[in-house]
Amino acid sequence: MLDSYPDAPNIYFSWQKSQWEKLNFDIENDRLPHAINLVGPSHVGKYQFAASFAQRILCLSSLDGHACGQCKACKLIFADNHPDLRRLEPDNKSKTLGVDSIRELGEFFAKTSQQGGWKVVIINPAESMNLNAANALLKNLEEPREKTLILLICHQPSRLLVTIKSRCRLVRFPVPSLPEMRLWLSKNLAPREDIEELIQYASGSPLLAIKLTETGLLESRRKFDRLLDDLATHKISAISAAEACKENDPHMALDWLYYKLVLEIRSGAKITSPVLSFRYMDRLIQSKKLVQSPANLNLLLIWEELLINWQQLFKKNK
Amino acid sequence: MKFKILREELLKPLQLVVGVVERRQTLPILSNVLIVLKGNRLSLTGTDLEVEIVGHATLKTAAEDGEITVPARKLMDICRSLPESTDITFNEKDGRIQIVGGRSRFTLSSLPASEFPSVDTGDTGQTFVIGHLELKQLIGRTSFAMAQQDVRYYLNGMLLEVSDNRVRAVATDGHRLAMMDSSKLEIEGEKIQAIIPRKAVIELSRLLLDDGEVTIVLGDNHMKVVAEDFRFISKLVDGAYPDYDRVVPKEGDKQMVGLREDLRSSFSRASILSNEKYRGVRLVLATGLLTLVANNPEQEEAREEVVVTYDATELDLGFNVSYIIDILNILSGQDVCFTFSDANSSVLIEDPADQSAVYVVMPMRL
Repeated sequence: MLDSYPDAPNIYFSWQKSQWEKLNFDIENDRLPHAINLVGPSHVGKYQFAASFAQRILCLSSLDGHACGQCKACKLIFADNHPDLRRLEPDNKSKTLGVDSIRELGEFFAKTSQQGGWKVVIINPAESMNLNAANALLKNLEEPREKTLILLICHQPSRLLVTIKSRCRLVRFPVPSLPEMRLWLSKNLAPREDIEELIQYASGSPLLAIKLTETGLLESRRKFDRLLDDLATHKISAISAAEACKENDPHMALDWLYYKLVLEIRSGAKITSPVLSFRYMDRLIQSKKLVQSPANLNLLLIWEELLINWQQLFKKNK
Repeated sequence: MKFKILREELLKPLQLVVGVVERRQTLPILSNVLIVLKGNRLSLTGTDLEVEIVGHATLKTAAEDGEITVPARKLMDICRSLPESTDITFNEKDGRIQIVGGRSRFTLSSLPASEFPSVDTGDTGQTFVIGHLELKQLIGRTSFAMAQQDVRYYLNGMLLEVSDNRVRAVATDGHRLAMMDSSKLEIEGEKIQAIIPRKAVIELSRLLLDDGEVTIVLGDNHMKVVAEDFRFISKLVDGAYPDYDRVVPKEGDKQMVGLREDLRSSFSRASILSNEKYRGVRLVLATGLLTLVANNPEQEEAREEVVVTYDATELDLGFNVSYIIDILNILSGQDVCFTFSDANSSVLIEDPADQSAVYVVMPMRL
């Protein structure tokens, strides 16, 4: 179990104990499926879990359901050189995994493992595969081979082909409970006063909370929230606010906006029309989909539209 | 690690090994060669993750044991460009390798040996000894029929079947099949099959010599070939080979025997005017005479007559001429025998004087 951060690759986080033990049980009883779909919100440690699990499988002398960290296989993994472990990730530019990299996997599966044990593939995230790639993967999922394991990491299962999902064991990775999160953060962060705010801003994802403090994102988030408040009270114009919003990572900032909207709807104090606000929510989800698509977007236009509409949700004080 | 070796003695194993070290590598360490020194035995290992080759050399002077990896191409270029019969000294210091030869001095970067993905397979699996030449023939006479990048991945390789005192090599791409036996071997144990990947077959055939013997170990995951001065390890294709025996026709009753060279040149000439895409040629058989007819879409025609020994009923069938020419090129005897059954069945081709290799070609409808 992992209490400290940064993570050692052969270890899982404290809130992943049940998932780990279940899969371990399956290994011991020779019931491990050929493909596992690790589903959950981002920043809960799914990739770390998959990497650790891959190492546990490839390790030559695993102890009590853990990789030993000493054997040749473990050393090769630490050096990123293990020939029977493949990690597929989209490159930074394209956001998508193309069919070629999946076809290469076919070659990898067709031959026996180099070190004589299992072959493991981690696809991170699985929803980054385009349609052709996903269909090519399907071929491999349909004819499982012995001693082959495919680990799919999936933040948004709705974007994954149904036919893929139905061929994988689903393992859920929810956010940890609040007490667990508080405990873990207290061990991994210097004591701070704004811990509750941090947890709220991180939507319960522990690794995101760490990331927020490390990257100055917390400050951007606070700024963003102030901006939305100012817009609601009509202190500033939506156009100038859009200019400021453009700087943020759109995926993250849209989530912040969504979160803020939910809070406002719940409190109901300032919003004029519930109908309008739900319509706004739909629009927000639309924009989120747009941002996730590989298309090249004019972000400024999206922000202007969203913020003008945001402002209209609130009454103007005369 | 510290040792001294004659340039030529290092160059020989290095040249064997560098063959598999590709220029374009996914993992940086794969462009390195692993150097292991134990006592006076020096071994060099190169791998592309599919095929691993280990070359050996023996040191004459005392040395300091150790293991390290260094860039293969650079080491090779350095050794090659040093003057003949130079003594080369290797010295490892702080993760760098110093190479001294005569008045030249090089310092190469290195990566730790523990990060090198070498295969350590125990000696498990069916083990047998076969001559270099026999193995070379097994590969040489069948490998041309292997499929290339077929979706039926198990065809992209060569089947090696080991049973009592016999090794059989089979290759097929679904249209033609080549099969060769090497008997007179001393093998005991159960019949086992392994599919050797296409790339490994080609690499292995390059390493084989004209005399001497090799020991082959066929395991579940790897094939290991151990010879006097190299060790070759390859992954296997993870799948089941089709039941090739069902494809070899047994009910053929119409035999045609002809001179191999004559047939080969006739087929080659006829192929000039066959359809470039489908390569179809018609074979018309009558008593004592084979007529080849080829047509192309431009309505041009080639017609060849060859005198053969044939006394069965008349036959008219079509074949892909390239497949036939391939086989006639590979065979070495003076005569060649074609065995037909009817126009819709495969033909069996073999050398009547040496029946260790047989070839099967499926007919075409023209």
